[in-house]
Amino acid sequence: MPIVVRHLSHVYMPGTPMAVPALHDVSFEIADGESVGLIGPTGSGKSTLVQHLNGLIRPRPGTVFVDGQDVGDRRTDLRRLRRTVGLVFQYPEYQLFEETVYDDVAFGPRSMGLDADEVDRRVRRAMALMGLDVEALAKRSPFELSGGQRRRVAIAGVLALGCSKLILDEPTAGLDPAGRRDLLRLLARLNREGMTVLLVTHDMDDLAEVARRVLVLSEGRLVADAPVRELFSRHRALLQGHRLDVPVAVRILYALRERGADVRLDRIGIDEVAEEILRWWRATRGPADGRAASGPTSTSQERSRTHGHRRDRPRPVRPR
Amino acid sequence: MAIGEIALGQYVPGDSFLHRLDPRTKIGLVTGFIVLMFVVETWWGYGVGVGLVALGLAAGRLSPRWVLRGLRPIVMLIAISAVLNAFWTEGRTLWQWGPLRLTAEGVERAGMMGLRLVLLVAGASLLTLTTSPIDLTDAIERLLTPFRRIGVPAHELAMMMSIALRFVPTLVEEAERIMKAQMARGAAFDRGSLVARARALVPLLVPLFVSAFRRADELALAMEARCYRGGEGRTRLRQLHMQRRDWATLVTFAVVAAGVGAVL
Repeated sequence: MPIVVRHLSHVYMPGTPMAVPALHDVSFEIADGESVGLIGPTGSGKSTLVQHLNGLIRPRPGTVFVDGQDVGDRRTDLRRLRRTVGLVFQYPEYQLFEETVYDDVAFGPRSMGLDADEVDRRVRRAMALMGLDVEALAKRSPFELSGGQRRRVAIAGVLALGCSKLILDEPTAGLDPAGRRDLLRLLARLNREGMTVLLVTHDMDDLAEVARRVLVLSEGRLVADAPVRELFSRHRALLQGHRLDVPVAVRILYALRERGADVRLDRIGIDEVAEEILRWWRATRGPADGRAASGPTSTSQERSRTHGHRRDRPRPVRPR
Repeated sequence: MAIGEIALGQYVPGDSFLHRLDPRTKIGLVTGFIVLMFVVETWWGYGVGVGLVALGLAAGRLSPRWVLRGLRPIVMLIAISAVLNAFWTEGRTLWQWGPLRLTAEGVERAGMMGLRLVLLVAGASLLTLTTSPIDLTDAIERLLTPFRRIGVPAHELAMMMSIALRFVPTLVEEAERIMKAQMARGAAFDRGSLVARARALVPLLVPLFVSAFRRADELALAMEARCYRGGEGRTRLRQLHMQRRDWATLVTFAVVAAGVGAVL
């Protein structure tokens, strides 16, 4: 069942001179099995928003429904809710505390009061899902692993709760390129296997790799909710207006378009962009030898609802 | 917000006469005031004490509410000392019940002791309410400097104090974050027996210590990278300067204190 957020606002320290509005009238839905990205510049309210989704912050005013349960209702069992919605915080490896990797991943299931067999089953499954070798790592101390491994152990600790929805706050921050690529692949695989994934990021390349749909948050307001292709191909000005931009690969397409090339902009990821450039090259210079460029199929049948009104004109690539 | 309150301690930011006094002056005044309150034994002496505190409140543009808040933790202490004094002082019996004897002298003494405690705490609060923790450590460092010759590590003590103060809000924030992260994976900090609750703190404390040590390492490295090697010959960003008002206040206070002492 879906996550439904309706008219959610949040103010830190309400009623004091130091009151800080963090969210303003945010509404959206996330269906089961979706893979959604939540982007926005620093301080846009992303972390505040996701903490509402598993009841760490009570929605007030506004409502959050998860699987039909009202998160704001005092009678809702928040511990049960947190087993459904796994939340992985920024730099989750700093929350590791047990002596062995196994015990750390088992912390969640054990605190649920499961018996040892079930705990073992869940730990093994969660570690496998995160691409961790149970036999090699189970008895090691989490503090002697590499950064990327520790992060995956921490995420496994959340997956072991048996959640059907996984929210990750900046999961690739501080990882090296290989660690980042591995983690994104694992997340994409989790999503293909049925997990609802909400990826909080301000890295457009992460987004292009995992998410199918994007929510854009700026200064506490939801300013766009669109399929990722549509957002990148048609709403670049909106992104730039909020101190964001399209991924580097897509910026190349925009740069080509700016110089008069007839390339399509609704291509995401390095492979698709490369194919598109080749397609354009062959179309203009005549067929070269080699493979025929087969354009990837567009998946823009997803629900689209954007709040951007400006038509995006291609712009020159700005150096950062 | 809890974080803000802890970060600022008792300090109430302001721009009053008392706020602008040099922190060393204020430490001197409070020390003198405490000595005075231990010396005086008469009601009118305490009257002067009350007057000085009132003057301090006015000079610091503070509401008495702030000082009263500081008294809350010592209410029990005052009550106990009052009862002991009232019943265990020799003198004229006012009321007797078995071995318990309430004396007139005891009641007077209880009143004086209670008032003395209140005045001591109130006087000390005037210092902490109008001086930021950073100013306070600076002043302590300067006041301890003469004792370096006998081996008091003045600069190091002050540096430790300011680093500790600096990291209180950081660690509180970190604790909140870790607590939320552990709650997100099933930890419960607010239920169960006392033992269960104490055990529930392990997932909070271990990461907190790990990160505190990590931060300490990073800070030490950052300080070394900037060639920090202790207080020797070091200049400072915030210089303390005794102004005319500092000397005037100290002299005035000394005159009043000497007067009280002379009359005594």
